[in-house]
This record gives sequence, structure tokens and C-alpha cells, in this order.
Amino acid sequence: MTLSKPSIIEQLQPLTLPIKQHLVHDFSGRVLDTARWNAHAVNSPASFGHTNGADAGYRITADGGANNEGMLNFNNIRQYSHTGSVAIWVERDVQNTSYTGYCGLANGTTGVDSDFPEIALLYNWSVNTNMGLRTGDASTKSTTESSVALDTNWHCHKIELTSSNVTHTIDGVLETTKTTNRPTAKLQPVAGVFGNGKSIDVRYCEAWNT
Amino acid sequence: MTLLYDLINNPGFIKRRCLWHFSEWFPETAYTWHESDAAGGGVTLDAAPAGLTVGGVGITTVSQNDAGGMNKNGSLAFSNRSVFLTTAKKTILNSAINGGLRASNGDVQNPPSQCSEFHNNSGYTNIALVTGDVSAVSATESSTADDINWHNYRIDLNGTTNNTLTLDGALAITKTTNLPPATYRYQPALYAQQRSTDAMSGYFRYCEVFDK
Repeated sequence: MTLSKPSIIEQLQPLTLPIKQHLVHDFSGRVLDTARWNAHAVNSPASFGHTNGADAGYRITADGGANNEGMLNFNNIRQYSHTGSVAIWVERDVQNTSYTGYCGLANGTTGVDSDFPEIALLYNWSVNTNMGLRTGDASTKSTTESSVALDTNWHCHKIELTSSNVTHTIDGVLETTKTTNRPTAKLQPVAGVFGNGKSIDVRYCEAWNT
Repeated sequence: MTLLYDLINNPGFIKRRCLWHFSEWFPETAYTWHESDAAGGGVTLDAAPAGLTVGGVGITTVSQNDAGGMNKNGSLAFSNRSVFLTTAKKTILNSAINGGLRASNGDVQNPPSQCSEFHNNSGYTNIALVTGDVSAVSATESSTADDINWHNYRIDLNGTTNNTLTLDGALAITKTTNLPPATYRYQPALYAQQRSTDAMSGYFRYCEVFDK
């Protein structure tokens, strides 16, 4: 008898369709997988490390001093489509004053301090009242705030890019559909924080081309 | 909630499994993959391929007959009752990509005898399944011509019964001769070979292997 057993990929899609790029990372480990992630001190010093606690995830910190920023990225290896992809991040802000926390997809590694272009990001900027979706094309960036106030709780953010819009879903509720200033180039997953002694935690990232 | 464990193991119990998406910024050669035949130009990640032909691992060759690839450096974790699955493409027609399970590292030009691998190889007219036992290696071709498109390749090693190649979800080849024997263990391997003076690359963006 020939035994046929399904693969994991066949639980997600039939093999009659092309298998596209897919990332699943749960930040559960002793040290960061540095082949997968580039821990980048955009403006030094910044620090990175797993937190020793249940469901605590991985902490990114912009250490003490003005205008510091730390970011996880793919060192600009951009495997995700700006017109057909999804990124899910589970993230929390350790504080909700005097900082910018972000996660999503981006082109470039210069960070939010220099306002890098070609982005589709959760954008938690303490100047704003609510969590936002910030997108950018090659020249212009803009932010649309959601109805969810900045806080220090865990939230699940889903950002989907299609050929016509970018949507932001928070904890399963569609908050924003944005059609302006959408990225025009391929993207990499990123998460980071800007500030003076400010941190964010991340514990899950999934991205795939649709 | 349905558990992935139940979906892929029921009935049965957990056996050895490897799954790799090649979604990263640097080839994972420290712990997971071993770069083989670096004379072929080595293993790199493709930063900016066109459209959705997004390279996972790009294996780029530099001169005729050069070859490059990745394997598990002799960590032979799988049996001759297992499944190998990858999605791959080559960039020019007159070249070769191949992948599957093999009993030692070998290389493209001198593959090990005990193996079961797909070939999208200009040395054959059509996409082929190449298998070998202790005495001989042979190929069975499908009805699908070699090309430069992305394909999903699933190879089922069914012990002494047969080996099958399922191409893009459709059974393409059932092979009963020169099957890899149970007395050997096997590792996954992904290879590309230049077969003309034109440079080529092989792209792989998914690989899954598991024992049945």
C-alpha cells in the first residue's frame, strides 16, 4: 500500500497553486536568529533581546540619549510585494509617551527618524492620540489614525497590501482602508522604536505574498 | 481549534520533519543548511528579483558546468519512506536545477547512487525523476518539457513499492526501478548547474521534508 500523507504547505494551499514567499516567526528562543533578522541600531545605542517571561516576546529598545532608534529588518532583502502581501505583527508598546513604535513592511533601513520611504506600517507616534497606519510612496508619507487609543497592551496588527489599497486590522477589527501614498517597491518586514530609553515588544511575525 | 499536529500526523505520531521558507536576509548555513560546491558561485539571497518571482535562495553559477547547492552536510535524517517538497525555478533553459533526497553530499556532476531527485535539466527533454539504488541510477521523464517557470515538486518515496513525482499537484511520474534502498538514510539537497556559457541561477523558496 502506498501511504499518502499531507505536507504542512498542503494544509494552507493546494499544490496546483504556486507556493509563494512566506515567513512565520514567533520570537520564541534563547537568542535572535540573526540569519533571518538583522538587529539594526539605526541611531546608536539600541539594544535587543528576548524577555524572560511567559508570552513576553522580544524587546527592541532605543537606549538612553536623544533620537535613538533600534529596528529589526532583513537588511533590505525585500521579498514581499507592495501590491499583494500581508504582514501580521503581535506587538506592544512598553510606554505610551515620547516615542514612536512601528512594525509592518518597508523599503530601506533608515528608520522613522529619517522617515524612510516606501512603507506600510503600524505607526504608534505619541504625538497622535490613536494607533495609526502610515504608508509612503517614493516621495510622500501620510498617516491615518485608527479608533484605538495608544496603550501598553498587546495587540495583533494585520496590514494587507493590494493593488488598490492598504488595510489595517487591529485585533481582528478592520480599522483603516488607505488608498493614498501606497508603496511602489518591494518590501521587507520591519519592527522598531524611536525615542530616548523607549521600548517595544514583539512576539509574532507572519508575512506572505498573496 | 484544529491542531496542525492532528492535520499532518493523524493517524500516526510525530516523525522527523524539516520545513524551510527561505524568507530571511542571510542564507541560514550556520545551523540548517550546508553550502555545497561553492565553485558554482555560492548561495545568496536574491534582493530584488522581478515581480513575484521572488528568490528565496538564489544559487548562481559563474562558468560552464559549474554547480552550486545546499544540503545538510551528511546529516541523513530521512528514510526511503518519506516526502520531499520544494518550489523552484531556473533562469535560463539551457541549465539544470535538481533537488530531492540523497544518501551523501555528492554534487551535480557526480550525484550519489542512492537518491531520488527531480531534474529540470536541459540534459533531458522533459522534467524527470532520477532515482538510484546501490547499483544504478536511472531517469524517467514526465510529459512536461523543461522550462524556466516556477513549479511545485513533490517526491514521495514509498519504500520498495515506487517513487512518485507530483508536479504542480498532478501525479506526473511513478517509477519502480532503481529505488533508493531502506539500508541507507537520506538528506535534502537543492542544486543548480550551468550547462552553457550563459550564467544562470536557480531559485528555491520553499522546502519541506518529512518521514511518513
